[in-house]
Amino acid sequence: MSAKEEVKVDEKLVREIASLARLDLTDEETKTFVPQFQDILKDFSILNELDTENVPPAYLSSANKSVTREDRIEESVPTREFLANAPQAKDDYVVIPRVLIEQ
Amino acid sequence: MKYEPVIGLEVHAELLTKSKMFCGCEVVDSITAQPNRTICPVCTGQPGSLPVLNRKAVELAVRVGLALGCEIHTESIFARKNYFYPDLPKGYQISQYDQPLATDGKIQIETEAGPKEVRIRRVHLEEDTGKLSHADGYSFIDYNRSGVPLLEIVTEPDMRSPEEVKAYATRLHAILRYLEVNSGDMEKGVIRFEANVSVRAAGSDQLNTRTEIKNLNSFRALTLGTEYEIKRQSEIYERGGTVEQETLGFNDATGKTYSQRGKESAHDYRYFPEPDLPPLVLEQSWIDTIRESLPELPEAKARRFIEKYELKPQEARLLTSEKALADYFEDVASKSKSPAKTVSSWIAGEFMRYLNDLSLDVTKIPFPAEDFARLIDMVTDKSLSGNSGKVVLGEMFRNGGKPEEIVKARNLAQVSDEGFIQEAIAKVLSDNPREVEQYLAGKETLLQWFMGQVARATKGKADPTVARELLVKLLEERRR
Amino acid sequence: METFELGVQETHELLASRKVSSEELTRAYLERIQKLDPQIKSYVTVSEELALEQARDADRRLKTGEGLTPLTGIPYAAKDSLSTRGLRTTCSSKILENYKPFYDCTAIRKLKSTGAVLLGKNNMDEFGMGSSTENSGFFTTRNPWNPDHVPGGSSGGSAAAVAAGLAPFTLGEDTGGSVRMPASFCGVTGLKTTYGRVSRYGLLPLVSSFDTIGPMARSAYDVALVLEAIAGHDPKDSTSRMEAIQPYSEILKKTENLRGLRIGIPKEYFVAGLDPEMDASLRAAIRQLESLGAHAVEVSLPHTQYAIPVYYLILFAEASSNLAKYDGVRFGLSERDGEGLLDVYLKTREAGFGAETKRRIMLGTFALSAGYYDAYYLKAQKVRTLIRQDFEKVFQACDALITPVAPTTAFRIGEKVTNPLDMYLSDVFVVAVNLAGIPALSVPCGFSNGLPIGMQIMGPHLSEEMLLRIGYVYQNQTDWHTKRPPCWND
Repeated sequence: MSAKEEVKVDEKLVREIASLARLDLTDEETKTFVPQFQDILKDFSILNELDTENVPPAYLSSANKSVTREDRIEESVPTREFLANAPQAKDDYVVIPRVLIEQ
Repeated sequence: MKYEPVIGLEVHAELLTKSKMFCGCEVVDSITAQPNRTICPVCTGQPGSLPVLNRKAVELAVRVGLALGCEIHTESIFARKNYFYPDLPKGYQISQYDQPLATDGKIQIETEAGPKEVRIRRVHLEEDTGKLSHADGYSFIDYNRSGVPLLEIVTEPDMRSPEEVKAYATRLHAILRYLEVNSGDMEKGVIRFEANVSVRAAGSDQLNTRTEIKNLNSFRALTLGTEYEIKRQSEIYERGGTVEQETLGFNDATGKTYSQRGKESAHDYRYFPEPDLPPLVLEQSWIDTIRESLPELPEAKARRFIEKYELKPQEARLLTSEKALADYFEDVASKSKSPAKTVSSWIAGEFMRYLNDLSLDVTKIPFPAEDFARLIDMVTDKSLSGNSGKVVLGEMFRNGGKPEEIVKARNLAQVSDEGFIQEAIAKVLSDNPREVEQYLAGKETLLQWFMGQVARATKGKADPTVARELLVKLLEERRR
Repeated sequence: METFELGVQETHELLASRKVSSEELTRAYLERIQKLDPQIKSYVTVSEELALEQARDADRRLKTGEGLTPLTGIPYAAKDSLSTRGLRTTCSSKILENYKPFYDCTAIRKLKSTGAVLLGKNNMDEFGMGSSTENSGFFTTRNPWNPDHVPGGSSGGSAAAVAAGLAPFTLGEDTGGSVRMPASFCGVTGLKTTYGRVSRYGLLPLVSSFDTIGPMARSAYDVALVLEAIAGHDPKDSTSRMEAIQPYSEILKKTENLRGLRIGIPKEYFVAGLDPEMDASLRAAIRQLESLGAHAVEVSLPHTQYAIPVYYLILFAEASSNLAKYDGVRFGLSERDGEGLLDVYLKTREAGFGAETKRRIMLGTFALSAGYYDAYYLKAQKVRTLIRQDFEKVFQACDALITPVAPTTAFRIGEKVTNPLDMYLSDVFVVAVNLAGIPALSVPCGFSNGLPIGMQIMGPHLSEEMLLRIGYVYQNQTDWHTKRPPCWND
């Protein structure tokens, strides 16, 4: 994004993002978010002042490399302990309303 | 208008490790195991849990990458693939996106027009999801499979027909089994194929919209599914319509692809580097060690069989379709005095038939290779007729036992004793005067029938060559 | 001197000499929590039964003298984002209001093995999103020094508990100042550890790249004792540091002064807009350190002004991913009154998340989406490199940096919560530390209008030992850290 371009933040964009994030925003929330997002993104566009063409990103720059574990079986957690937290369970399965589209 | 298919394949193969990709839970057969038995905070996405990479999964992945002629990247990183689905406990799958483990490989396949190369775009590591089943208005989630190490192998869209797709799939399948990284059991879902299909005007080099066909659970489905989709898309273009980019399912029963409409048409997976896993840095020397320990792969083995054992290409391909079968063949051939070609015929023929009929795995043959070798030799040196040999083999499969003992017990030894055979022939001829007359009158085809009678009378023991000679002689004698 | 005023070391001596039992001590704390916490609201869950059980176990150890550690029998509390097996862990969010993990966080497991006694879980900003604890899904914690003011955030409950004598030490968590800010607002000592120094296994994540667990107590020495117990490599956390931990408390005991220490004063942190009393307190503290042998130099961290956008963009992105697992399927709140699975997701997350959490998830989803990734997330990660390089350069010119923790003392409840951007800007002095992954200690160094002021001491990776030495020596010469809030004897 160049310094000139600015994202058009409007209710449509907010609703699209909410859908991606599985958030069921109310109309009021959607309306409130629009100016808040605009302000935040505008304020953050200060980053465009900096030329980072040849700067590597900082992710995964912490000390460790190649941390691996041996292929060894370890004790699992008992099924009932895991299912104790499930909102709905039956016959050792976690239960949910039927999935409509199978992937 | 002639349309040319443009097909790429994505394969997901579970890796044969003992424990899962990012935790120590045991990898089990998720079809037979009790649901949610092999689970922990990591593979059930409990908040606060963290992944730790399974070294063996990396090793197996490198093995595959090398076997496919890929460039193994000494530095690769993991990434989060973010989407919501109930079998994905964290709400993201740990996979690889930028900087995968291996890229730019190739597989050679045999087509009618000769050998062809299918390019491999990338090979990368990721974790498998849980399993869903459905009944009444509910879905049921089992996380046993969640976190199992998965290898994703993606080709360039180099295939041009369902036959090429099948050739690629079977070759890859064989390679993965050869490398002992995957069991190859498609029915169990340990290896899954997805086809990306588009068509274009023959001769054009543009790429049109493609569709993705999922749940192709067998080679048959793969062939039929791609075939159907090619036809479907061609018809659309023929009508002047447009093909929509979508994900399709395949219905085994109807042989048709169907739209999974209602789904997000294009996922935005919002990939970003996985902060919980440091970069994977591999020593070149380690990669080289793996390369040196690679077994002889199917293609090379087939070529060697053709050269060394003088086998026909088709037979060589059959024998090398499975490493265990190829090894068994060489084992028997080395123990047998008969020519390798003979051994090969036995294995490709009767032996394979019994394997299939009895649903046996070649690693679970109920008799030792040397017994089989001796049986073959007995037929080769004519102490046993071919037919009797088949009977003995059947007996060995069903009830075990040494071939010599079976022959003795059932009195199957081939007889080349002319006297014995002559006696049997004489009886056959005197019992069937009408046929003798017909033969002498010119019905030469009855010779075969007489041979059958003689075989029956001697319980298959008569040496056919000797019997035929004598039969003709005795019949001719009758002419006078 | 009251028991509640005693630090960890002195309490340990009481217990070891059997002048008081861990059970008696634990009961005393539980009673005090019952008396004072209704006003302060620093605890989300008080685990009375569990605490007494652990206290009795500790007493058995104290009796035989076997396997004693400096923390045996000492009560503590933990921020509610640390997974505690069988004990409610909520992250102060409605979506986890009744969630009981079936496993312990490594830090908690380590404390269990020392024999420390878990009193309960502390209030926080929901999922760590906030700088005042006003974003808690349950209630706002009050600053013990002035109940109309915030305790800071997001580990507000953990800081307030220590300040009010409701726990000798607590475990907090710092992603963008969340230990240091509340420590300074509440007048206690809090350590943000080097990223990876303490295992993150079992810490409910906010920003996987930044999250750290750190102790809060009433002195640097106490912080050192706790750090020794919880730090170290954990094979369950692939980002945890391999380097051995040091005997921090021992090193402290041997430290008398700061001779030879070069302290840098970054000019970008002492700009106009800083509360004049705060500026004065900091300057006095720096002079104090100089009198102890340190030598102050002015330095520069030129990219400081970019730290907030970099921090928040990365936070939004990673948090949006980390919070996707809260979906009503396997645990936690689950709204099943809708029409199908999609409704379970939508209604659960709508009902379970507070406004700030939703806002951040949305912005993160946006920052990572196709077409915007390069301009936002990737850009932020690149500028982060520049900020890290600033620190690398500066630590060649000096050993430690001294800065304020916040531009002001604890602000009033309600003052910033309506404008998210305002709230973000109050983090200006603390977030760069998280971007670089370096450690930083917040130490009380004064008051302004009855509210505490904190001094921030930063150092290179794995320099906790130096930071604690500085804090220790400073606290030997000053008594800011010994002051008690007015509510102390209520």
